[in-house]
Amino acid sequence: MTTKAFYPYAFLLLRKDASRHAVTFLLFFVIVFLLFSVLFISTSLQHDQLAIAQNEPEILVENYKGGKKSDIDDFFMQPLYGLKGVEKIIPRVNGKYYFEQAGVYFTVIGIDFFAPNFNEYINQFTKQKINLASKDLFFVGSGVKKSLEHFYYKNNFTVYTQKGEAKRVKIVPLEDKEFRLLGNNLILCDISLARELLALETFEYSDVYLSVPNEAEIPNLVAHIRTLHPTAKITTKEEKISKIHTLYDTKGGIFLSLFIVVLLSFMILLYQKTLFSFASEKKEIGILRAVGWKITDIITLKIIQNLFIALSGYFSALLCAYLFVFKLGAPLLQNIFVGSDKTLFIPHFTPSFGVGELVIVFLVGVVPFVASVLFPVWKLSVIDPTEVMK
Amino acid sequence: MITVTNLDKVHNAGQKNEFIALSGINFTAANGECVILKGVSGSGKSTLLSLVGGMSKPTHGSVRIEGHNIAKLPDDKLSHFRLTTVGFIFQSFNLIDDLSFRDNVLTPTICLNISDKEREKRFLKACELANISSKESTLAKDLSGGEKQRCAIARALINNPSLIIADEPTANLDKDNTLYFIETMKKLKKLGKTILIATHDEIFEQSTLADRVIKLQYGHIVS
Repeated sequence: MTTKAFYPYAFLLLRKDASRHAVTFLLFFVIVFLLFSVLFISTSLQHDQLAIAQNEPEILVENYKGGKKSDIDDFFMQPLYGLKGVEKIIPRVNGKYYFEQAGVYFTVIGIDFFAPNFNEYINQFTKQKINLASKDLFFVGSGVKKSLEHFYYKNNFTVYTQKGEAKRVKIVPLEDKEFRLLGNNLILCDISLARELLALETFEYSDVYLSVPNEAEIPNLVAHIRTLHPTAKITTKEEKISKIHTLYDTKGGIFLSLFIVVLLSFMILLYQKTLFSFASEKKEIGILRAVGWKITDIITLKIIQNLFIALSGYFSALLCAYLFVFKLGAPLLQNIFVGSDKTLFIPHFTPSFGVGELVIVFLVGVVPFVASVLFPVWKLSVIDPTEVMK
Repeated sequence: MITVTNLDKVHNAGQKNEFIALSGINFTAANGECVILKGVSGSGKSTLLSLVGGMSKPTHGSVRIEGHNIAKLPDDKLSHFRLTTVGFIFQSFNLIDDLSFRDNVLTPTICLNISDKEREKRFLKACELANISSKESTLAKDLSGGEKQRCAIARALINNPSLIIADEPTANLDKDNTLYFIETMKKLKKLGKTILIATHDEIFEQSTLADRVIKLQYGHIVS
């Protein structure tokens, strides 16, 4: 049982070696900060992509010719209208527009103000903004806005169609939080303008969604579509969600493995430090034992001290990682996830993390940290005090 | 009352580098008695003190203090024994350098469930006995040799132990501080404390402090 005087004394001993403990704190902080940042990025991207997938119809059909994605037309869609159990067939016009000055790709989605769109957020948007149904408007996400503003395109912007024709469009920022989920690099524009930008003819689309109210019908419908279009790529909502999970779990897993290697090295460093490197720490344990402290008192003292260091490191790393990822957009680190793919232009991440992430980092960070100090301390405590003080 | 019976201490027993530090040690010390242990370096004085002070355990034999065989005590009871019954003064003082004089002296009270008032009372009393009062906030590393010695004495006395053990306490002190140390020990003896001192210093034998001198050689008592 610890006494009232025990805690102030533990902190007194901690303070006397502040510079040495500061190095330990800093190392631990950096490791935990990196882990938190990567977990936050991973969780945020996963959350956003899952949210998008959840808001889309049940089956996506893409036309593939010779292994390459191809556009679809009314002839491709015609047989789908005969399928039983399909509530809606929603063709989509989407693609990439290369903004040369910034060297990034923007995602262009053609929206129809007078027909259902593939995404529920877009449907709500078209209902609310029907008065803005115009061919020369660019509704841009925050990332696109920022990128255009950087090159002084504040109100208007000139785009080039695939035929080389220049078109002047008015920039309208998308303020709705939901659109962040679709991507900050998003441009919503009238479907006919999108076709011009993406080299699609009238009645041509990028792909088509099928809305199926009864989930039990999905496997049958997939099989049926395959007979109609044997080379088409058919993706169900469930498959899409599963792919998102696999992708981020794999990336998160790779990083976690690397983190464990780094943490193991850090633990070995701590172990060496406590057991061999610092004569003052050994002498201190010897003195405390010599004046009558029990082994459990020494262990308790070190638990208090190292829990303080570890928890301070843990919470400050948590706070800094939160600010780094969700306020600053995780500069540099986001490349681990997006790689060199400039189509994934992500200046901001949606704050999304659960207790699970906090517990994982606590278990793989704080617990081994404290354990790696306690083992050598216990080893020193069980030796005769006179031997330890030598 | 200290009774040491057939005490042996063998380091690295059964190994190639086995070393017999003490063999067949028998002696007693009555309460309030001051016993000086003499002998050259390596004769086993410090080992004997660490066994009597409960810092280590003998290979064979018993050390009875106030009727309890401390050689058989489990670690937590032995620690409690060191905390409450023994005050140890080391040759190199063994203070925590970056703690103040006050914090060093109070270290043995941290694990005792006593009030702050009682802790303060003990501190003042120990400082009075060690005859040092104005260095409370000075870091141990900034104290002079004599002050470090008095800090170590105050720390040894803070829990009012009945047994004072000093291992070469004057080896790092000048003559004035040595005489001062002897005077302090005389004062403690008058308070009824049993004192065991291991030393090379002839001055202890010449003083009126020692009741008895035990001479050790190669781990045996020779006189």
